[in-house]
This record gives sequence, structure tokens and C-alpha cells, in this order.
Amino acid sequence: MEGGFGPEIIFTIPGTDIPVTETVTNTWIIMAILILFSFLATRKFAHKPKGLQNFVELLVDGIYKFTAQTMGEDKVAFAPYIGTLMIYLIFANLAGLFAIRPPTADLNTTMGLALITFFMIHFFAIKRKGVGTYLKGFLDPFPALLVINIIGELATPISLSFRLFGNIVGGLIIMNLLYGGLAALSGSIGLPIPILQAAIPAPLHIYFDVFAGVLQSFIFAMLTMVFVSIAMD
Amino acid sequence: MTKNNLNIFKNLSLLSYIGIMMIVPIFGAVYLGNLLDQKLGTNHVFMIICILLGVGAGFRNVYTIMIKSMKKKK
Repeated sequence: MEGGFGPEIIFTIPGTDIPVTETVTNTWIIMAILILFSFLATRKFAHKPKGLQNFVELLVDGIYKFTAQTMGEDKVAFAPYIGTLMIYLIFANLAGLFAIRPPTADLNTTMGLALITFFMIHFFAIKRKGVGTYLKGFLDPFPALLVINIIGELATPISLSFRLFGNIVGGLIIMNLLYGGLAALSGSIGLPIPILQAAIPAPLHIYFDVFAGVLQSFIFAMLTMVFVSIAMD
Repeated sequence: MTKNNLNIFKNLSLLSYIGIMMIVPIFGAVYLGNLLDQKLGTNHVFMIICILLGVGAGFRNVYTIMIKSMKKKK
């Protein structure tokens, strides 16, 4: 823990100085799990679903309904992206439960996701309204507010990414401090193994990893949907 | 998830977003103003201008989100 709470560098790309941190490697692990799950779930589709297929159909159907209800029936084509985003974020935020550093505890990950949302907002606004109407929107309600409107738009990716990052990294730091404190306490009362680390952190794991993690994934996906649909209408 | 429950979650998401949406432009403006003042050697002139713009942008963000989401509901 010499370097504070930042992600550790696992290796540097040979021939360059580009570091590959545990954020990237943990994202690869999550990607591998999701790809494997998608492959296994969609390998044998039966006309009459059973077992895993039932669960997958329920999940996909749920995501489509959720997107249609939030964004409107005409924007249901966003469902695959929203579903992917939400499933990835849930896995990433819950990674702390498996002693893996959550990739979302790194601002680079959350800023990347927020920038996708930011570009989606503006791309689909231009596509739906046309360049002229889109640009005129920056002069509303009167042209003197142009600078304020631009600053306001630029704040969207920053606030989206900082809230997710802040929630997850806050939980991570508190859990690390708790584990360190419990290990020290176990040592000070003469226990050879840090037995106090068992069970005591569980309620906090439920709050910081499960509750906050799932809630933040949901909020991120929900805000993406709300902003994109507001920009298009 | 019923339509009513979904609306509650949607509004809660927006509600929790309002606070951060207001302070981000202000902090950004303070940082930018400070940077400009240091680079140009001015005495807090850009800081004051940027803070005013940041506060305006914060209010604008909250106002537009509320107005647009209310219009959408109708």
C-alpha cells in the first residue's frame, strides 16, 4: 500500500513506457467472464426455452422493456448498449466482493464511459434535430447565455464520471482501512492469524459493494437514458 | 418493474444528480479562473468572472433538466 489507494501497475507494454494497471487487467477478467457467459448462453437456442435460456430471455426482455419505458418505444434500439453498460457496471462494481479491485475505482474507466454518454447525447441530438437546430439550442433562451450553455454541457461527463468513481473508490478506501485496522487489532490482542477480518467486514461489504455498486450502476444507466432521450426530443 | 416504480427510480436518479450537477461547473470555473489568473498574472479578475459563469451554468443545468423532464412527462 506504499502508493496509496491508486491501481497498481501490473506490467508495462514491452518496448514502450505505457503502464498496464490492474484496472485494465481486471476489466479484461470481467470482459472474459461476460464473453464466456454470452457464448455459453447463446450456443444452443431451443424453440421451447428451458434452464439458462429462460434466464437469458428474461434478462434481455427485461432490459428491452426497461429501455422502452424510460426512453420511449421509438428509442428501444438503445437497449443493447444500455444492457451492456448496466451488466458491465454491475460486474465491475461487485468485483470488490471477490477481492478484485473494481475497475470503476479508477477515474479513467468512469470518464471513458461518461464520454461515451456525452458523445451519444450530442451525436443523436444532431442526428434527430439537424445541425442548425442543434447549434441554435446553445443560444437559447438568448445568445448571451452561449458560454454558460457550453460550460453546462461540458459538466455532464465530469459529474457522471465523478459520482460513480467517488462512490466506488470511497467504499474501496473504507474497506481497505477496515481490513488494515482489523489485522492490526488481531495482532495487538495476540492472535497469530487476523481472525477478526472474518465476518466483521461483511455488513459493510453488503453496503459498499452490493447496495452502492448496484445502485450506482442503475443510476448511471438511467441517467444515460434520460439524457439521450431528452437531447433527442 | 411497473411504470410507477420506474418513475420513482428515474426521479430519484435525477434528484441525486442535481447536487453534483450544480457544484461541478462551479469547481471547474474556480480551477479555470485560478489557472488563467496565474498564467496571465491578473489579480483574481478571471477567478471572479469564471465563478459567476460557473454559478450560472450550475443553475442552468438544474433548470434545463427539470424543465425538460417535466415536459417529457406531460
